[in-house]
Amino acid sequence: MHLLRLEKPPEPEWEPDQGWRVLDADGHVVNAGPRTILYATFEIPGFDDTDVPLLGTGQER
Amino acid sequence: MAAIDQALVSLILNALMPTGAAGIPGTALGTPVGTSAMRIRINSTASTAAAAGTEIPTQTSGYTNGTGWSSLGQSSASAAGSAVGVPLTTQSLVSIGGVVASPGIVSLDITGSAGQRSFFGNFNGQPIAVASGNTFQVTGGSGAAAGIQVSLT
Repeated sequence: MHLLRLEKPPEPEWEPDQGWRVLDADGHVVNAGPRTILYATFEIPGFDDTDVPLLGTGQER
Repeated sequence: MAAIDQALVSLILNALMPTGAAGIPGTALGTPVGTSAMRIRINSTASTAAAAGTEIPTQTSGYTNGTGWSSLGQSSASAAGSAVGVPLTTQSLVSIGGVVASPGIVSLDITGSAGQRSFFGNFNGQPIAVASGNTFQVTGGSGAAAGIQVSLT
């Protein structure tokens, strides 16, 4: 007895600016979102950030 | 959002200030996230600067609780202050349902191999509901093409 094996379809190409996506069992995109950007900043509480430049990148006075 | 673990903030500040003996630069920075391949931890609640969110359980495939995504590849290094993108290689998991289906995936932590946290944040568009049997992917790529970008200013 021979069983036909259905090959899983290739995954779709990533769309521009897609950061994540959810695929159903057939490989169809059911949801997607843009890239996730994690912004971290150095701030010293109580100081104006122009007063304490980090690595000389602050405003020259 | 702070996006950086508070313990790491202290290590960085101490390394750039005269916090060492007799005013030498602090040496505590060392290798705060270890020397082995880094990982991405996926959470069903938001992470904070103080603690990671609640990690999702082991999934049908592609994600093990306590390990996370562990084959990220080598990110392009930051130059002149540019962001670092992660992962280089697309990461996937197949949902087992439960919290990943509802309420869904909320946040991520970038960690060392022993769980040491560095940066964290919520996924853009969270919560991301991934029904049982469906696949969740984060795009891999070099530099700005990667699905997660970390910027430090």
